[in-house]
Amino acid sequence: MNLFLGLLLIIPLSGFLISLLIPKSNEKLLSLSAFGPVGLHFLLSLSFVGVWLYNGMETFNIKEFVIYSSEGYEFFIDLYFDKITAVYLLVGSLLTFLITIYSRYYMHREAGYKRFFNTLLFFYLGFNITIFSGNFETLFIGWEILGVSSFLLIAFYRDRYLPVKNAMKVFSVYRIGDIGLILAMWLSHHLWHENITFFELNNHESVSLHLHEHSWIGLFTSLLILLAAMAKSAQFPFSFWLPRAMEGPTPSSAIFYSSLSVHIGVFILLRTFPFWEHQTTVRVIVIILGIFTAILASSMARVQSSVKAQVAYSSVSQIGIIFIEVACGFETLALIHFAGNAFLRTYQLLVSPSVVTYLIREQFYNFQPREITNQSHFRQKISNTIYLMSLKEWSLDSLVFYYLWAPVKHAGNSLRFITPKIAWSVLAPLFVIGSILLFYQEEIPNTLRQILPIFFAFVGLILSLKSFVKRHDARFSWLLIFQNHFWIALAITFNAHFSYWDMVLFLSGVILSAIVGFILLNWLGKKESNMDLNRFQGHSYEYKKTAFIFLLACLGMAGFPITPTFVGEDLIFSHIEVHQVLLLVFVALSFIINGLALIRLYARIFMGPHIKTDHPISGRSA
Amino acid sequence: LDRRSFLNSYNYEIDPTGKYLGGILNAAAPVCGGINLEYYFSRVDNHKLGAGSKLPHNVMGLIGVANGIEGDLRSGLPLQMIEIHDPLRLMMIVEHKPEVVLQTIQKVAATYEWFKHEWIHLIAIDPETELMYQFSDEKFVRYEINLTDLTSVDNYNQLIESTSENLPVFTLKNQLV
Repeated sequence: MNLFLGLLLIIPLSGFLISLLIPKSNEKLLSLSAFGPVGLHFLLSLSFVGVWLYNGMETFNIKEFVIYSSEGYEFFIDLYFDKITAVYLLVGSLLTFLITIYSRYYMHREAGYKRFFNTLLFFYLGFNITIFSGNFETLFIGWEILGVSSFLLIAFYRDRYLPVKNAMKVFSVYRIGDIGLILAMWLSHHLWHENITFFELNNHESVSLHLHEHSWIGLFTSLLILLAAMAKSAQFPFSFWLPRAMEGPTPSSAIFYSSLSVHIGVFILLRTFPFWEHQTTVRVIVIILGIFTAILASSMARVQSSVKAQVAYSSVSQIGIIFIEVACGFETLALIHFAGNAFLRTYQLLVSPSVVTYLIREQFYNFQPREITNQSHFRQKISNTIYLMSLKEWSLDSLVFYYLWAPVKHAGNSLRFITPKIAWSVLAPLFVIGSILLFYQEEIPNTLRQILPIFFAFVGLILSLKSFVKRHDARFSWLLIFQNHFWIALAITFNAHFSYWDMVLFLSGVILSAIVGFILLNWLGKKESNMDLNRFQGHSYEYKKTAFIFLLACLGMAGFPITPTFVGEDLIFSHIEVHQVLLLVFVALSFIINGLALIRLYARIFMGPHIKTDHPISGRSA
Repeated sequence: LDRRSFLNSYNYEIDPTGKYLGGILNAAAPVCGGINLEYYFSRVDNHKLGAGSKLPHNVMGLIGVANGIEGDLRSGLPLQMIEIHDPLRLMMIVEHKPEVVLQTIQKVAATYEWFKHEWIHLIAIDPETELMYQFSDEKFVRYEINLTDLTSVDNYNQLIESTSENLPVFTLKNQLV
């Protein structure tokens, strides 16, 4: 059994790696590399679940291997298998299998045939890691893969403006989910004083004992998990991202944004349910949220003008109901509901291009004009208002922008005084002084020693903010993020005992990616005189390979699980104490903004309508 | 001709004045010419004048398609349609005397515009001499087909798959393909 679980992860991984190596022109082999492993994966899952059912549905928890361990800290990959995983596994693998076969012909002769299947398999890998994860760390790996592959799938038509813009938008909402998960991980570290596995959450006594001791930590952890689930499952107020994700080819929207990806939020809620089961406040909040979303999304689904937006919003409203079911403790019902919703929405999206044929036939034969009723003026006014509000999606999009991103942009824009000159002549020496102070830590007065980490983290945050709003020089923006990592490392080293190796671990990935990225930016900057971040450049049209390597460098810088920096990030958080809220906020914010700034950098330079017009480019509003 | 041709049944012998011919040309010229132009413009700039790739299309209010949930309604033809047919200027071949054809097309001004400005090629085949006349500069001139220096190909399908660019005229070695 142990081996089997590992195998179920290795198959998607190897499928993904193989698909990377196949030449672009060979459509047959490419699609085979997708539906072959996925089909095999489906068969294996089916037989595995069969045997598992026969053996009495025993819950597995397998500690696969330890990636990094230090004093009082252990980062390990942990796999978990129970009823929830089984349902997600079967639904996910069957749907993905069907979609890969469908896309084999649907995507025929499309320019990004290879890219599509690569991203699809990458997504599938992330999905599997997420559902098999046995602890927050493993879950977070899968979660990050899902986020990035979603971004790439939405921006599949990277030479157009709207897909790239919407992909950025969705990614920024996912980033809010990330912040929830990172902080939930951090709080649970402090709650249990170790990296907790989901299996241990089932131990009711231990959970209630810990919760009793620190009830507010428990509450906050649950709310942070809920935040992550809300962002991922497009619940209120984040519902707007789901229809905007429908920019890729129809099959990818069908499987990911209307079925698998949006249900991951439900998955985390189910997975962590034993943790918040006895916190009535949390359950009530989830239920209220679910009701609110279900009503709002259903009102929006009814009046949207495009078929994909209708399907998206009706999916969201069903997920709202699933949230309620989870909070009420109807786990099996929620799972059945998930499976039904996932299959239905996939089907609906796949047939959505034919909707004109269906509806016109129906209207032709069964058309009934609306009866004119004598409504009172007030009722008419109310119903018209609701209609229009729903049509405008209750302005959720601008609401989230106004309250979340506008302040960030505003803060960044007020940092005009940071020029490259200042960065090198003031901040760099300051950093050196800070590092020197590190050796004389004992002689610094205690109060100052408490403030210094916060100050350093604050400088780091300012740098990443600056990088996020930087409009002209891509290289400077890149270096700002690089500097930010050093400031954060400095802050943490000051704050707590952060060993030499921990530091190396954290910075190794950053330094490597920074060098690669800087070389690429420099090279590109010399070839293309225009590297303005003010508009999209679309350089991936000419430099496809460079774009790919630069994306890897961006991911490395952002602490994506391809470099040791990922473990380092988790380590950094474990070195922040529960009461150091300010330090935590600075560090967490700068991680989130770093990620956004990096993806923005990538999108601005390599995506969007190409800046050269010697070939047809699409209009901005198309 | 790659599935692009069609034949209208017409007998010049029972229509010496071109009365029925006029009926056919007045309908066929604007319709076929319109389709022809739609292919042409969609191919010239598929992003702006055509509808782009079909795959992300999203039906909007049963009246059109857009690429995502926002953005312009797409006009023109999608990439997958223009890929099948290279845009070629429409050529109409009429079996009748050039004088009669000329008279006929000049009767309706709107139809005549199509031919006059050469949006459509017009060839008249004289039924008695079987000589071809091309309409150009508002008169018919002799037209001869040059079939001498053409490349010939074995595998037509392979050729089509290899490129999405416009192909020149080829002769097929195996005529039955």
